[in-house]
Amino acid sequence: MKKAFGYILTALLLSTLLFTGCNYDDEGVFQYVLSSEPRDDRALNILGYDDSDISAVKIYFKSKYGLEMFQDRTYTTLDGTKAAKSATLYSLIDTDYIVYLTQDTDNGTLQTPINGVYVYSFADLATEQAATVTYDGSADGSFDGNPNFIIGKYIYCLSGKDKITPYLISVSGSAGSYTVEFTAQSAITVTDYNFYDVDGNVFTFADSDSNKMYVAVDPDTGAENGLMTTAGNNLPNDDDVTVISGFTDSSNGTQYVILQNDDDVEIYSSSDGATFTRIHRRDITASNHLYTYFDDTYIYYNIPGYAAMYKVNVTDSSRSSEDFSRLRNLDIAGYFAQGNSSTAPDYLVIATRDNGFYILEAGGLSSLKRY
Amino acid sequence: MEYSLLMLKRILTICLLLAVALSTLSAVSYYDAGSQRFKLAAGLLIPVSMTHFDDNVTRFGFGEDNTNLNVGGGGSICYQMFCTPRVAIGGEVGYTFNYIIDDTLMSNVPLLFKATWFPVTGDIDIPISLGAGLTYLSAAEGGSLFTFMASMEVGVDYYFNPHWGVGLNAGFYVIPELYPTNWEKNGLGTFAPVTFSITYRQ
Repeated sequence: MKKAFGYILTALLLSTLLFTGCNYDDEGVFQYVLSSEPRDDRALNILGYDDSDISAVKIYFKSKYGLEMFQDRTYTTLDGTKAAKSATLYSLIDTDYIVYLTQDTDNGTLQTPINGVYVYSFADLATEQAATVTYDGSADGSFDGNPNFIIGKYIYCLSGKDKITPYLISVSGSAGSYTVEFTAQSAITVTDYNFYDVDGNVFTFADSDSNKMYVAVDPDTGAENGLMTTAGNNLPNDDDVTVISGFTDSSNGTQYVILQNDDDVEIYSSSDGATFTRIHRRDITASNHLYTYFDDTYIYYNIPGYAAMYKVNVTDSSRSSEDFSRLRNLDIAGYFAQGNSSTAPDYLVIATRDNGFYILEAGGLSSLKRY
Repeated sequence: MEYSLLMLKRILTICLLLAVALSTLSAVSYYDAGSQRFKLAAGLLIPVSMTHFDDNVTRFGFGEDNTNLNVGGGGSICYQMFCTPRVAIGGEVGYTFNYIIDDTLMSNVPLLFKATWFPVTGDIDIPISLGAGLTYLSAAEGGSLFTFMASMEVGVDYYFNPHWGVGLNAGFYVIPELYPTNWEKNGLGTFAPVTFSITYRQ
């Protein structure tokens, strides 16, 4: 009996050593449990951010609590009114104002007329409904089509399935008498469209009939004379592209377009906004949404459901990607660079839609923490 | 939480003393060497304590600011054969889970060698078990690993016919989390399962 127990004990010890030797993740289950925090489900959507001081980045977002700001582990509710909570379209105007629109929701879609235009003033720290709303200078005017989405300071209205009209949003006046002006820009005509992703100053969509890609660039930083640049022949005319996003390097105007196909992720660059060259490709089979971020050196991307996050140095000639971190099941709404000094990004702040903010040390793997 | 741990110790001690006392009343065991039992159990898993050595942190009980685990559940299948009229040995496979306060899941799949002493047998059995083996421990965001696990359990089984019985069991699991190359991640978790069981014996 003693001998049998000896054998069993030895086998147990050896197998344990064998199995524990496979514990390469080194993540610490109990350490994770002890440091975990209750879920912070705010139903968060990013409005924009202010990184003029990278050591104190302010992230503005709309949540179930209204309009909020997150800075240095602290949430501040800017506007917790019923209107703010129900806002469907919102725009950060130069960190001077937040303009938000409420819409009738009787048909449950965003393509419904607006019923309220509100202005939050950072100077006054208060919100009120706009006293005057003008469309191309006329208080009696209206949008051409229905407002569908906002990128930066532009609200895009859809007419039928072939016309998109951007309107520049501007605010004037002072507390008690704000005027919100929507100024029409050149309309965009397509034969049919599917909208995909919105990132920073660039919005993109694909024309599903002709399989051409279009990239629309914010006039503040992008293309001349209008909002749209046809991407040209060097972007693939694949009909299996499911997500497209893009960035503009503010220092030299280089545009980057990131495509997610059925079986890979591809990054293209263009110095003139017309001719694109593929600079990176990685085989990934995923149907989930691609999230991207650009910090003027690296393009970061990850796909929910995949453990790894990747970064590509677009200034390096090889443009190869490297594993950056394991993000697992986070429902990401955006990434933001942050630094200890006023200029260098040492961290990525990761905003999730349903579980608050995380911070990731730029140094490497396994350093993801709740922020 | 120290109070609940103390209570658990007292209950186990009382059960043990009761079992020893009762064993004197049933001098002849119902079982023979070669008898077998097959047990299905399911119930609650209460987090008792969790330790992270590097931070010198130990927390007791369930919920936020304690172990950060909620009361969970689990089940197991156990097969044993009697090697003497009062001692059975065998194996147990189980699955347990606890939700972490961030709504993610921590789960545990133990594979245990299990030895059980029966001080009382007959229409009522009182099995007292010790188990040791491996477990696959994982958390959705916290990684996964194989590690040791030890268990002890006390139960009362009532047999409503010669073969089938139902029982109530309480126990204690000890799970050290071992990383040979990363000692600062090592930890220790303890849990208290409370289960109902159905046992078939022959």
